[in-house]
Amino acid sequence: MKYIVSIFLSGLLTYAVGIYGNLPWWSFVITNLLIAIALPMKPAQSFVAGALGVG
Amino acid sequence: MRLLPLIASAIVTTALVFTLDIQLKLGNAKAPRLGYFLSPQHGFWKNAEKVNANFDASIVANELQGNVDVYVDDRLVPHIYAEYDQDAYFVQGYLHAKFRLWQMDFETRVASGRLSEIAGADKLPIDRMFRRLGMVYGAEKTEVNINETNPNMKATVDAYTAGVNAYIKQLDPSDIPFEFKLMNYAPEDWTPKKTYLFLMFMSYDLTGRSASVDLQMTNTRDYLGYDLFDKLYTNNQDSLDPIIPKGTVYEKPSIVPVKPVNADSAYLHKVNSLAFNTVEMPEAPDKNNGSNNWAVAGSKTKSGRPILSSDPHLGLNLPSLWYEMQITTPTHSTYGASFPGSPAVIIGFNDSLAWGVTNAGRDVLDYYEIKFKDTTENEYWFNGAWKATSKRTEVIKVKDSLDVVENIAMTHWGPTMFDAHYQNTQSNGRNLAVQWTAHRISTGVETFYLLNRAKNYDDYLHAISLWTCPGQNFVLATKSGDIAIKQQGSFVARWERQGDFIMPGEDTSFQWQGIIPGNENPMIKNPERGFVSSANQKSTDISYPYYLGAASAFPLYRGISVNMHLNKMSQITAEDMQALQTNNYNAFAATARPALMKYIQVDKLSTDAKRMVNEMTNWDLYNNVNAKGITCFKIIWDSVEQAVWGDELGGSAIPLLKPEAYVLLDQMLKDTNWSIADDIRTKNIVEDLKTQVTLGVEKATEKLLSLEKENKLEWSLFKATRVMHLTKTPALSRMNLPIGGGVNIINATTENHGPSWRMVVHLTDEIEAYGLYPGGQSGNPGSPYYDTFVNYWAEGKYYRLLFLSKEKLKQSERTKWHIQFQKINS
Repeated sequence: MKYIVSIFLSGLLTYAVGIYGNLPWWSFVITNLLIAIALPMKPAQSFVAGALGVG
Repeated sequence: MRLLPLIASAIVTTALVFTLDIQLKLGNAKAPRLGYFLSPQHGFWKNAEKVNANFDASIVANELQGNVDVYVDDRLVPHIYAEYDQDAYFVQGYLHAKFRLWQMDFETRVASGRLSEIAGADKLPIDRMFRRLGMVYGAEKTEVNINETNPNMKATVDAYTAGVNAYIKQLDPSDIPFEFKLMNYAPEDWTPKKTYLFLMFMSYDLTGRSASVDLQMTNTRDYLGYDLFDKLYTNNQDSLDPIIPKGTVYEKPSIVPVKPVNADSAYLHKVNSLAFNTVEMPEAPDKNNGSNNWAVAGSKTKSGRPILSSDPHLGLNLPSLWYEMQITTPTHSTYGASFPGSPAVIIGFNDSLAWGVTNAGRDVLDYYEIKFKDTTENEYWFNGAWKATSKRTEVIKVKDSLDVVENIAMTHWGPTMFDAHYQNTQSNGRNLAVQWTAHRISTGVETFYLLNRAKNYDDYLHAISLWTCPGQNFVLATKSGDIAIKQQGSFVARWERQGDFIMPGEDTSFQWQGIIPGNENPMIKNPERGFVSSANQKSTDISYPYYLGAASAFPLYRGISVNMHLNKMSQITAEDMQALQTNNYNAFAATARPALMKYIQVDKLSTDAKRMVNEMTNWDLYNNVNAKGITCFKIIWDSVEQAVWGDELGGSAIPLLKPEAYVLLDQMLKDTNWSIADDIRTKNIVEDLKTQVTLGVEKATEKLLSLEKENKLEWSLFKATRVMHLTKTPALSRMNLPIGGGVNIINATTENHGPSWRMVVHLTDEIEAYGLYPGGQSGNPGSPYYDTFVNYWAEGKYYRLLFLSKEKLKQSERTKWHIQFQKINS
């Protein structure tokens, strides 16, 4: 469940932070860090969730 | 939390972000910031335009005095209907920015020597050249003059500027044009000075070749000696068919330029010791920059109404130099090609008349040699004393590097372009100041403004009387039946050969003795022969009392071809004029081929050479797409020139001018025992023309055989015409276009140069007009409208141009979108 939520949040925040054109392109790095802190998982899972969400 | 993995991930992530956020080196160029460029929300994906994109919009602007309606047709051509003139120019600026913003930025950067700012130190040579040539200097003078003396033009350019900036202001950073993202910089505000810089660039493109040629002519003369020079680079053009027909009687000149007493020794025979380096002059304008235009009177047309044709020949680029539009206000309704960067329509027509331009090719740029007192360049020798210079500082910002400062010594003549700090191969260590009519105030904008509103011949004459630089042949046809052509500009009253070479600048004896009064410029109205035309040939025969400039600036054969065809034609229709604009007949080869055959010793040729010569003799003299004979002819002719001239010019360490083709041709027709044919490198043998020509054919055959192997003997495959993106990126360009034509041909299409706009206007009551250019209305490579017209252009086809009232356009099935501009509180 955490895994799915993580993917979903990652995608949503990446999109949201990108809409604001004045924020730099790498802002999604920060949002994903925040999600990883909020929803701790095993490293490999966390990485894949972030990657899928951004993709 | 596990600290070590966290720190490791943080380092790796930061390194990745950093690497993707800088411009990595890619060979000689720099890649875009990859993370940014590839980001779906910031990068190039955002510039992709849907095929069924909707251009409807409603825009509010407080700069407007009234409302403006823009109807956009299916070719993405906007038709502006405004209640106030300045509103129309505001909207023109907005639309130019909307569809061509990067091009406007790039072209003005080139003109103002600001490429290094975005592209790094590689671009310093070209930036320094444009700064020292006085491009910014000229634009600044024009701006000051217009601001102080011409409130109407100031208001026009200000309105245009406001429109451009209104578009830029509302642009989201993620929506900036593709090329800004590629090159990693952002758009900046437009200023009136940029409009004047853009017009300076057109002056450079059309008169700036002198900056290179004057040096080459001087060096060539020094190398060969004046007598041999005058033979190889003769000003005699026996086959000339001038713009103003031969036999026209010219008025006595109001200025009779007097050659200085010491000109023969101090100027024509001057010999210098030459010191060489190997940097070529960057960005010399293309020799083929020029155009065709003509107008046929009702006496020669089927309808009894005049037809005007105009096609400017310039570099073929994407986005195109031109942008089609219609502007309608209560004072005028005009359609044509405009310049993104400038208000008004440049080549076009209104409801009363049509006009077009070709380059006059007159010499309006000269070099004067300066003697400085010392390396500070604070004083120079002039009229018997040391005179103070003033210094003009130009700062060139360089990306990732320190600013470069040019301190240009300003003299009586103009800016010192070459000195101890700046040289190239051709300047040979001299200090040279440049005098150029483009440094004088330019009134170009007003000429177009007035032409857009002109109703008749008198209005046309008044509009062009204000034109100074670059000198153009303005052709006219009116609904009421007048046709006319006038060569107009600020032309220097010169004595024979004045300005062909670098002149002594130590006193006024070689200075310009006046500008030819406008009413003494060559012109003709409603001639008996029923047509007027120009194709960059000399405007007059030798009875004109002023020196036009060195003959090498005036091509011969296109003019011969145009006049030959127009003389024969009658019952002319608009389609006939389209066919003539795209005509591939080779008037040069028509004379040169039989001349060549006179000298080719066929029995001494190899089998392959015989085959190639056969191909050439069986060719129908049309530079058509599939023709092989023209390829053979061209390579053979070039090779024969090389055989004849190679010995005279080959010993020089610096590039010399090549003699014009007509020089060799005229000799071939006249003198079979021409001594120049002898190869001076072979001491014991005296070669004659037959030997050299036959040798040339054999050498050409080697090249032709390898072309044949690569399947590139057909003219369009050999020529490989291309329309390139301004950054020269093939992926954004159209390559290998199936089109014929070439140098000397009415369809003047070469590898990357040619008819950049084609227009045919039949002056009927409703005005029947046709046109197109090799590009598209959108400058966005991600848009379906980026290169829409290229195929049609290559095929020689034309679009019918929509020139309608607002009511009729609204109802037309070709009208697709509506952009409404409203003033606030309307």
